[in-house]
Amino acid sequence: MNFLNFNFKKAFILLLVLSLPLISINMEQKKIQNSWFTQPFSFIAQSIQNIFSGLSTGVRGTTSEYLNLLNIKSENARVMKENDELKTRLNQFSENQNELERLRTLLDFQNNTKMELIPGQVIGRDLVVDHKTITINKGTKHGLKEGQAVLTVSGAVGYIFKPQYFTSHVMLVTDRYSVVDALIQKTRAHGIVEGKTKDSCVLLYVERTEDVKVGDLIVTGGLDNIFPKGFPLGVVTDIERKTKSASLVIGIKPVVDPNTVEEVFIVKHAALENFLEKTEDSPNSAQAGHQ
Amino acid sequence: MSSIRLRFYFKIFIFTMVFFVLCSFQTSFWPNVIPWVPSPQLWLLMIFFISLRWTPLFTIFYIYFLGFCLTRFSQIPLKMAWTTLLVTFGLLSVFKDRVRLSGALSFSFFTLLGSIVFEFCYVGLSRIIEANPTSMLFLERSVQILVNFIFSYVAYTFFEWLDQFFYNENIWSKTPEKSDGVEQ
Repeated sequence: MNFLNFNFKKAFILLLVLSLPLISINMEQKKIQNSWFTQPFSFIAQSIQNIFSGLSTGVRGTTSEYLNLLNIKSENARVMKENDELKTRLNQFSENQNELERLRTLLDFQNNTKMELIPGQVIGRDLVVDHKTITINKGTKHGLKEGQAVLTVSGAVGYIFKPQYFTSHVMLVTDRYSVVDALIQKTRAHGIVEGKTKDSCVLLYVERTEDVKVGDLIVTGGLDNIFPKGFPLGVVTDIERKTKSASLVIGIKPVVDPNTVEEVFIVKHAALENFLEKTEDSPNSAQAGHQ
Repeated sequence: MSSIRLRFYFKIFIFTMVFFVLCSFQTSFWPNVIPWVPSPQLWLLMIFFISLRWTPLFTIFYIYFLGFCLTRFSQIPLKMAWTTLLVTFGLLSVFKDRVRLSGALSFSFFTLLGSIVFEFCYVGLSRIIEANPTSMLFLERSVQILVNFIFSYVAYTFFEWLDQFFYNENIWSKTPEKSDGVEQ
């Protein structure tokens, strides 16, 4: 029965609508944030917040790391380049140092000898394995002639056999066509040095009775009018005494490795230079040559 | 002078220049840059190429000329250069029509064969015609043959390109009669 024709349902909803804010205002005043019924919501909220916070931290961290990585990469490239430049400079410095030492030695040698020398650089090697020759950057234009000795500070290298205008071919003492007059420094016994392999020669026509030992120094004999007398040529490595032969076959290792030589001197005029006399004057120099 | 002849002379000139470049490369560039590995004998590969491709009679004389040029870069006596190259050319000519291969593979095969023949001939002929013959140098020769073989493909590509550069299809495809007829 509804005498006033009043809609109770609508009134209840209206009341509820109005009361809820009032309740909330009341709850705010009492500070009930930590009430029992808020805790589950707080827990869920915190958990999700933590997840997102963690996620955002991760993303921010990754982004920052990536950005750092990019910076590090560019920085690394810069440092690497700088390092390479420094290494190159260091290598160049070492190379210059070595070259300076080498040139100083060559200059000392040139200044302390009576011979007229022309410095030259090796610019080429032989085309076939059967021959041992080098090409140097000096030719007839620089006063070179066939049969001039080519040597380094340490010892004899070979002699010029095919001079051209700008360059010259040098026959190394290890070439099988090469023939050089030589003598054993200790006994003064003469012989002929011929090329054998790419890093060895052989001393022939030395009498069987000669006292030769492994390690003896072989020097140039000077009779071939190519090399000055007494210049180091090689060291005895083996001695072959054939029963039916009157002479020895002595294996020699050249004091100068002809395969690695870079700078040489060409003897323009030997001017009667005799290294044997110098060796006799200073016994230590023989030892130095030997080494 | 006809354009064909002029083109031919130009081709010979260019091939000779290339020969000089290859010899210089072997003697002055490779040993300074990679001294621990023997240089490929590219000049020899060029001789193999022209032995296989060009007309025999002209090739023989051209090889003699190249053999002479070779002595400018080495102490190799002219007699050794000419005899060794002639024997190598002869053996390659005998084999070239008997091998059923084509292109780079064929050239690599002939390079291997030619290098072996060249090295063996050099040792053999040196013992016959030289007063102080060369040694066997087995290891050096073997490595040299191997290096030649490895570089044969690259060399073939280059020589083929160079040869084709001077090849004019319009000229060589015409028969003399037709050519005359057209001109008249």
